[in-house]
Amino acid sequence: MRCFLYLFFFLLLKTAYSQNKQLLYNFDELPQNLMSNPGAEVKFDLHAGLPLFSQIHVSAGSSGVSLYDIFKKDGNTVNQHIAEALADMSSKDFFSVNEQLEILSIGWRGKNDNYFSGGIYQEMDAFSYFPKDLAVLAYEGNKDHISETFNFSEAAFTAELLNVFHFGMTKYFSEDLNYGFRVKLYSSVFNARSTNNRGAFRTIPSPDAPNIYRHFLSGIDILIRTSGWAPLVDSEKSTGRQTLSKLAGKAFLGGNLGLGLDLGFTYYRNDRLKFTGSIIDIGFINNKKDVENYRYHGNYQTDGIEILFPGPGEDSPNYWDRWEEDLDEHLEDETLYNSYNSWRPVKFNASVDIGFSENTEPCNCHEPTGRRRYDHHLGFHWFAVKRPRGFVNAATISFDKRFSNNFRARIAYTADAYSFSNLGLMFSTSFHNFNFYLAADNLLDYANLAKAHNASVQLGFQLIMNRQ
Amino acid sequence: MPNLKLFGRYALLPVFIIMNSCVKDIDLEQANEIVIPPKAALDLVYFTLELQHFTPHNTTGPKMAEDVVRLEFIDDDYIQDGLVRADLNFRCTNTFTSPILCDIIFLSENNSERYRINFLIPGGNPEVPGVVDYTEIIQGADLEAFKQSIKMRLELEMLSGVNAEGGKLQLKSKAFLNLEY
Repeated sequence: MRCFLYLFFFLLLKTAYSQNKQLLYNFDELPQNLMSNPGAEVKFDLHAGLPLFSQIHVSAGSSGVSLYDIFKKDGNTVNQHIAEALADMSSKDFFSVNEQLEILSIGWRGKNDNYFSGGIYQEMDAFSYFPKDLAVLAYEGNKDHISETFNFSEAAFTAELLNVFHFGMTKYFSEDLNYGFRVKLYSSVFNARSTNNRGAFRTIPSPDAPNIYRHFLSGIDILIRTSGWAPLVDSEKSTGRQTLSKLAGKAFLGGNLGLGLDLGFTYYRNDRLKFTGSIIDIGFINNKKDVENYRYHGNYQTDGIEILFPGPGEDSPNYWDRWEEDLDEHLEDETLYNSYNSWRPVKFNASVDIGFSENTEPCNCHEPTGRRRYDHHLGFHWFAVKRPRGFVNAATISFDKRFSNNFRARIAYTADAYSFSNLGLMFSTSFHNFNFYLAADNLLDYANLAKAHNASVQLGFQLIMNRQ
Repeated sequence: MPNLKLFGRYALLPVFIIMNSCVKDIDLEQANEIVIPPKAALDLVYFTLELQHFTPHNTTGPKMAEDVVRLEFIDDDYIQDGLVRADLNFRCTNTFTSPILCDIIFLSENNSERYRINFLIPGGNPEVPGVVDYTEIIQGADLEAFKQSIKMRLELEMLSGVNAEGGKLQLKSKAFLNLEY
């Protein structure tokens, strides 16, 4: 139980290269596959998720540091570990957390084999680069870094909480090709982002200046955009029920709204060889309600306070107030209320799937393309998600095996910027029409979760049916 | 009919792994020992004094120059809660022939003295100025007294002398603040 709590704690505090669902992608017997590729082949005629339980996805991780790095027992102090980690990490490292919960999920096969699906899911996504310069400045101060430049541009983060209402269709165009799309209506509860910050802080020795040092804040332009934040802060005065009511209102189309689109395809080169691709979350949210943006900008340099020694009978100036006024005049602090658009983190998937060990047994399943069925599949999958400074990539090789018409499992190896030892396992099983699946990756790290840089778990329950 | 043996053998494997996962070889209790120890270097005050700043004028006896500056940052939480040591450094260059006694007095809001620094700046001339580089390290009980101040009074006493050639007294200062949170 203690370990389970650690796992929970770990998943809450750390992140994976979130949103990569390499264990679910191309798993054509699960409706969740359609959420990664609306053009995926669907081998059932109807599905209905158990509300709130059809997909629970949690992933968390850190590219630069693990729990073990900080709290290991090696004779050194935790503060030495922090200093070492700070030295090792770079501004390219990042932290992210992603959580998805399917509230409602349904789908059915229509005419011409087309498959329609829709539902609602809730998502929380947070991503932050490690602002190394600012972390060094906060942890070590500037005393041992005279003449070095601390860049504010390294600070970049996004965070959002939203509900997604979606409806999609998979169109069977031919024996070789099917494609699909999904339209999404985003209902934002909360959004915060700060991505294009600029400016630097520097302290230099100044032998020719009036004082020992000169401190510079140059080209400062820091902007933090938020929507939905102010009512949450104000909610301290509200009761728990009032706060929940506000959150629910925002989640169900009462907050800021946006539109999105998923596109995808599956192409059979032949019975054995299948290519797929998808683009997920091409969309944005127009944040115009409860917007508060905080901007800090300007240029400033100081040598300290000059003392003037006025003569007898003259009052001393209020040096401190003058210094603060000068600072405020040059570095302006503004709260803005103008609306803004926040783009969703767009994701790309591409895969090659090779089937072998043909299954010629009759089955209670739908083969819309009419292709032969194979019990074993070898898959190669590439995933990328757009983050403020570029794409975060992952590559996966997987093998899945059907053990029976009711039981199928997959093992996958994933390489990415954080780890070359990510082994994942997934299974999907059905009892009559009731399906359960469970997927977890980074299994090698489960022996000691403290050393894991990332981990994710997905599970769900649903009804999956065929007409035959 | 589902194959329950297969289910037992394979489906429960991830569950088994997760249930047996654990966190080893770490001590989360160390979280209580985490200290963030920044060391800040910042300029304090500076000035250049000439003869007319000292009073009384036109005498050969001792002359004084004095002023007060508020240092509001001492009252900020990050100083009150986090400051564990302050190194105050003063660099003076004196071209007056007279030595000058520098008194730096830290005062509370109601002008009670909380901490005092003084040092003598030797006399000199434009070619060979009197120079002093003085550092006061404040920690322990002295630091607690220092943290009760909010103003700094500067008193410069030019000891007797003619100073017929005039002169200048230049002071630069900085602080190294060791903080712990």
